[in-house]
Amino acid sequence: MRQLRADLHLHTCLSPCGELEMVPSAIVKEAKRIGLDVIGVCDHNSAENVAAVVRAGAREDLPVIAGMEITSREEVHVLGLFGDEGQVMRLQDLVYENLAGENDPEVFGHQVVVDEFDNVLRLTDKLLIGATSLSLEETVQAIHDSGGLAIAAHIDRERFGLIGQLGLIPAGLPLDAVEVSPRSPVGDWDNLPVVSFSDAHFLDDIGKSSTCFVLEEGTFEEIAKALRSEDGRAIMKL
Amino acid sequence: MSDVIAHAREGSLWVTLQIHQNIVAVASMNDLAGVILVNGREPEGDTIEKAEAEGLPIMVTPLPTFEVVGRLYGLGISGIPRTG
Amino acid sequence: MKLQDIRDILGAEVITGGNLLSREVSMGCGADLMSDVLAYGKSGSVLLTGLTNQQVVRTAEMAEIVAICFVRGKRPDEKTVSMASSQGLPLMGTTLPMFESCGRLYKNGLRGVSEYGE
Repeated sequence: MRQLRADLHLHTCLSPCGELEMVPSAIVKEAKRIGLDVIGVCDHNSAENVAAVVRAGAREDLPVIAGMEITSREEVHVLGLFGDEGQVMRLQDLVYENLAGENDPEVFGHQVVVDEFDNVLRLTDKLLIGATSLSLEETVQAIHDSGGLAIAAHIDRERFGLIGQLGLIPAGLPLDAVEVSPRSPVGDWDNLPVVSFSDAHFLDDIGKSSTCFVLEEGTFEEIAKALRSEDGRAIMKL
Repeated sequence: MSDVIAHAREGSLWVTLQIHQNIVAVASMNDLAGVILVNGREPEGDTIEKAEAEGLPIMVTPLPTFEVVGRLYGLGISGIPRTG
Repeated sequence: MKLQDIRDILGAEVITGGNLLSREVSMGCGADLMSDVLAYGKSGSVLLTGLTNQQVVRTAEMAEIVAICFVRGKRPDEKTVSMASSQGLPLMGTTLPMFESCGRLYKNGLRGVSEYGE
């Protein structure tokens, strides 16, 4: 068993608010440079750059977890983490069906889809900055139905965090963990596992916050076990 | 809603566009008099049952926040004074 | 109603756009969800909000909102202010809560989106 440092909440140049330098090889290079063992890609309401980062990571032996940061209709951000790209792409179909509006790049920023070598493939015109019409409960359910882990993002942040938007964790909401912001005091969140990731939109922010896991290897299955404290897998104290 | 928890006082009327069932928990926790949902939004899921169990009145209006608040203000209902 | 009237009624501090206070405002809009700003922020309105992120300023620009007044003493960061400043979008801040802000403006004759033009 090893201690692996993971930052599983990174944006790419696909997120309108992410800097254009957040391309697959630059993300992987920066993650390796600062010593991360696992990263995850969670763009807003889209997974179109996940496969590219996964392949760029594979070139450098850096495991990349497929993910998405979904905005529920209450404007709560929820991370979905998955074992393979196919699962997150299927969830993306549902998210897109429930996401209205068209992006105006001049107003909100460019949404660039790239390949694993950072070549620009296209711009996506969905309004990724918007909220879906899925309720918080439906969002968590959809993530689970697609085989993923549902984590309430930056739960302590005033905007787009579960507590800021809805005051308290709804009773019976089957979250797999909560994510807290960098340097936040670790609270007691209804006995849910607590992780911290950077939510990086800029290269310089990668790894600003991370979580150390005790795992055999940096895979989705191992991280899922750590969140459930199974088979000796665990989250180290933040 | 964290603002409501932080600032609302017992007996306040809450005007909101959130329709999540948590409005009932937050309102009851703070002993609010009732909730008005704006822009014609209907409460979701079992919000109504929960509100009935808590004895919390919920009203729905097609008006936007600005207008419903303006009209309530005209009836003499004022905002919560700042406590700092 | 002009922006300067809104400043006076709410005892607001002008954050940026002090030279634009003679602009006419035809409607008021109070919103604390981004999706509501997107859906209900109408051209010619002043937006009252507790949201201070950059997307609010961008959305306001897109919707041709006349000005934003932040309520409950909230203040945007410098980057957001300079963005608004370069767009010619006046920003104000009041310590009054949302309810009191909407109420006072309405009482002074500012109408809402659904009533405007009735």
